[in-house]
Amino acid sequence: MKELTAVKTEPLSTSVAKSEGVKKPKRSANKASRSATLWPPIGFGVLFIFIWQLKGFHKLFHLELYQLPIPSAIAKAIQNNSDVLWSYSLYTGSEMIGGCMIGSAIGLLAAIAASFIPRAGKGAITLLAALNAVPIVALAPIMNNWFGDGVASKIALVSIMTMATMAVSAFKGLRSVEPAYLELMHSYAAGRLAIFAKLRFRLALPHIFIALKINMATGMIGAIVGEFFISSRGLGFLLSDQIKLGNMPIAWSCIIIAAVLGIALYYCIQLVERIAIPWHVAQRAKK
Amino acid sequence: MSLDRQKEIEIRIDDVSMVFGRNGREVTALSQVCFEVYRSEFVSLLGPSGCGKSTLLRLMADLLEPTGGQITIGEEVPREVRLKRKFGIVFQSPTLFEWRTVQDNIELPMEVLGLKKSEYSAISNQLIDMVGLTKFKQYYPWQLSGGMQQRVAIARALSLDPPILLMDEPFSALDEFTKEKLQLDLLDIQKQTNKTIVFVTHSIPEAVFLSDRIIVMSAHPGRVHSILDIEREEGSYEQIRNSDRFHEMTARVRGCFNAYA
Repeated sequence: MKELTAVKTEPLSTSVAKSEGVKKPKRSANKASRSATLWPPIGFGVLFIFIWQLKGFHKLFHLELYQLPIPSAIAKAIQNNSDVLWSYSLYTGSEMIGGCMIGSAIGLLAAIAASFIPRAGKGAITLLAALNAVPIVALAPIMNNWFGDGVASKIALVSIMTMATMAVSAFKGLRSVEPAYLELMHSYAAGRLAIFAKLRFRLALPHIFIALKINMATGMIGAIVGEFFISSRGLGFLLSDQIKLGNMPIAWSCIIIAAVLGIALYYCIQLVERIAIPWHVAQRAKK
Repeated sequence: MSLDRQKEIEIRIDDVSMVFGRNGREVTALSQVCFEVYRSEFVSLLGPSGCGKSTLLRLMADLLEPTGGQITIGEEVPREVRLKRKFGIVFQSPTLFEWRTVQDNIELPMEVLGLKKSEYSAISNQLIDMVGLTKFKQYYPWQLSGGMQQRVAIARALSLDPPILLMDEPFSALDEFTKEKLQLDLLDIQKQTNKTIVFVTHSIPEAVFLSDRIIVMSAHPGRVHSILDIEREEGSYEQIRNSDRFHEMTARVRGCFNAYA
């Protein structure tokens, strides 16, 4: 019997690869296609700035230079005010990131708690989702009233704006397990904690990253709009202040920096996602 | 091969019924099903869709509870058997964890049991060799073909060395060539490990080729139509498939279905 085993397994392993086929990951092809999808938007962006610089949009929309400063004027404004802009970017950035992290953490904890009591949990998550219906413009003054005009009120505002998105998305991920996988775990006599750690949480990770990306964008809006109301620092404050003074190049610097900050943080999350869930990123690339 | 030995009853299905739904919208999936499965036997549950064969497998696995009758495995009820992890299960889809490599997938049941890596890596390596995936143990499921994924699922089901293997149409989503190889390898694995295998299928040739006995089931409501002994032959796949006895057996099984169709 033992001899038979040894003889039989040997040819088996060599023949499997040939007949059943293996999809090897094609790294080089992926890289090539990524650069192919990268160049058109960069080219378009350069063209856009070029037309803007040559006052193409001014002619098209009948705008004057004081209404829409050209890129070179904005660049000069950034250069001349780099100290203030840098410190204000850090200020607004910390409101945004702080709020995002606190809001997302609360949302995630709520989703995890709810996933352990699915029936009552679903109702609780729906209730939390109603937060999204509250207009941020209505909340901002109230948060200022509660937490003062410093960083705390904007962090509170961004937290409230982001927790529901995370809670809904993560809860959906935690509950999106196919029945066969649960049956499999039951057949190993796995407890609820093991099912959560080894299955549910892993399946929820892609949903959690989607929510984080959305929250970064929402967080930027929250931080800037929060500063519009009562504030003495930050990009949102500078933006509304300089528009009132008619100093458009500096106002536009704030918009450009806010946009760059938003994009940079979005890519940071995407990078973490690549490291945390390579299996899912690879699956997506295949489609 | 089990026919040569003394028949020891491993699984006893005693007057089992299963009714889904309630309050007037009831569907009887199984009605008064009785049969036994002997130790180290390969038994197929064969029938058209709706005959309750998958339901019956789920009842044995304690994933469902019967509304009537009882199932005994050894001396125990299915719940005790499940909690003692005395069966492995393979579904039609491989149900692999996408974020785990081949080896990590196979180690999952041992990890859930709370064993240490040092204790189980030798076992998983041995299983990987047995299902012929030695070169692919660090691959992820999405890098493997359907047949290879199903091999991983079989190895995973064997990882706690359970005496019973429950298989729910494990090869029905595979192409003919891959199916053929996996059928042969499964018979090899059974020879090496002496598992009791309950195999759900809707393919008559597959059931005849693999089984010691076939439980032929009929639908609406699901019940046992007849139980057929198969004398397994020695020889190559082609020899067996082309033999007169194989054709005779498939014809006999098909006859069971024509009788009530």
